[in-house]
Amino acid sequence: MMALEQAKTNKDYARLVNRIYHTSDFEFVGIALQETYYPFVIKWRFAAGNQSEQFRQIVLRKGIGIAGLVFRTGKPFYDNNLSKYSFSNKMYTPIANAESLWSAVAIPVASSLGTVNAVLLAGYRRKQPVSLETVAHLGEYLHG
Amino acid sequence: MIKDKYLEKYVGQSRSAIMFFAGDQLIASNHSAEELQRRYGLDPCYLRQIAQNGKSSSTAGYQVRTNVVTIPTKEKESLHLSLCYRLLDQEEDVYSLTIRNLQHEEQLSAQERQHLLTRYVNRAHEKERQRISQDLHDSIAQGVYSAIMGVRRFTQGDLSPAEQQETSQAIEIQLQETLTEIKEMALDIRPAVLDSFGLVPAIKALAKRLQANSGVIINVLAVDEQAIQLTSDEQSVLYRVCQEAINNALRHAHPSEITVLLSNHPHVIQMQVLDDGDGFNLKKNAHFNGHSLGLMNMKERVTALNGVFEISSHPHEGTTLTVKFPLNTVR
Ligand SMILES: Nc1ncnc2c1ncn2[C@@H]1O[C@H](COP(=O)(O)OP(=O)(O)OP(=O)(O)O)[C@@H](O)[C@H]1O
Ligand SMILES: [Mg+2]
Repeated sequence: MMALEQAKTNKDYARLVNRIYHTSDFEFVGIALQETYYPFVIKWRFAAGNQSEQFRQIVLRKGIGIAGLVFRTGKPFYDNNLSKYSFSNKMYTPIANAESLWSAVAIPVASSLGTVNAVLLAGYRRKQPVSLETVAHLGEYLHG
Repeated sequence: MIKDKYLEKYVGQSRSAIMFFAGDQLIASNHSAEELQRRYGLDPCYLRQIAQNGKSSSTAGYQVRTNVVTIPTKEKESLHLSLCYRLLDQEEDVYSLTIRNLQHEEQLSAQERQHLLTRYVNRAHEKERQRISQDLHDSIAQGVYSAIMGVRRFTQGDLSPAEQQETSQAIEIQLQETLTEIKEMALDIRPAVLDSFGLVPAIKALAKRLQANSGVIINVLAVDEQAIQLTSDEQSVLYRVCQEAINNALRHAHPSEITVLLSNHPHVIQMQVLDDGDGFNLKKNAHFNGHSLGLMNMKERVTALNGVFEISSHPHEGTTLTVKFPLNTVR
């Protein structure tokens, strides 16, 4: 029962990522999930538009990087010119490095009891600035 | 007089800044001194005061020579100066102040180098403590606090069995994450793997962790651990150099790949850390830049163990750092 439920959502996530990638101009779309078993690692599980498989190696840390901040705070985050952050900066976003993203927005997709357990991120490799509007635009996919 | 002419020329062209005071008045200074004043907005009397403060009671005649003096400037960097303050004429109350800017001296004395290094090491230790303290506060304390809140909700709230299940899992995750962070901090401070399993596993674990945190590919190519006969001092130093080199590459170079190579040759063990990032101008970073001690400290630690430390880097061509230790096979 539990496993079926999981499989269904996973399929949904894969579909969601592909749908966003194909119906928007985002150059990368990904979803990071926190595992439900020890040691509760957070990784990028679904991606579209990825330039390599390197993103699978990333272990997200709560509170660090755009997506990590969404995990910690439950609020959307976005930023431009991501390469300006040096490793050791709280805004350093590993996925931006692995996927050469110039800008990205991230929003929470699922949570239980106030802890976020899935985050959706979309971004650009070209110098395409993102803003609160982009956040809203990405959010529409979750309710549509 | 011809003597005066050459004296004046010598003083005028000196790389050291030279100032003359009569009483409280600056009466003359050479080109370097004017440059120093203009560039950094330094008040000559302020410098003189610093020199006078260095005076010890036993000084015979009147001459004060300071150790390295660090002066903050308007720009972020600090100046490192050595000052020499000397009485020239008692009756007319005339003093000379000679200032050497240690940044510009290619040839620092061994003592001066040591003095600067000690200062940087102290500062780095302080920075490290600050970071640890902040991590303890930000993530560990925060994590424990959240877990406590979870337990409260569990015991006080009127929860359905499903909610209870969810709450207890949330608490478990919270504690587990905090545990992971504690382990990471312990690793940062001193990797236990290094003591129990040796250099190669320690470097592999480090590379894996930094790769996971950064999204940058980090390869480790190493010879058979058995082939490496290193003292524990050498192992520690190689580990630290590797840690600093990877961190440098991640922080400064925007690399897409970093590679650590450990190889052994007859009588020599060699470690190289290569990145394909931005590279940098070695000349500009050859001396103390006032805030970092990474490269300097690495080099110092390697040479202290009779090792060789080399860096080659060119803008846009990445950086290669090489450390070699002589191997004593009859250990
Ligand atoms: N792999 C590298 N690629 C590009 N630049 C580098 C690299 N390693 C070092 N640098 C440059 O050399 C400078 C000095 O490096 P160093 O490790 O001594 O200090 P830091 O990293 O700036 O500070 P610290 O290590 O004390 O935190 C750096 O600021 C950077 O500009
Ligand atoms: Mg450094």
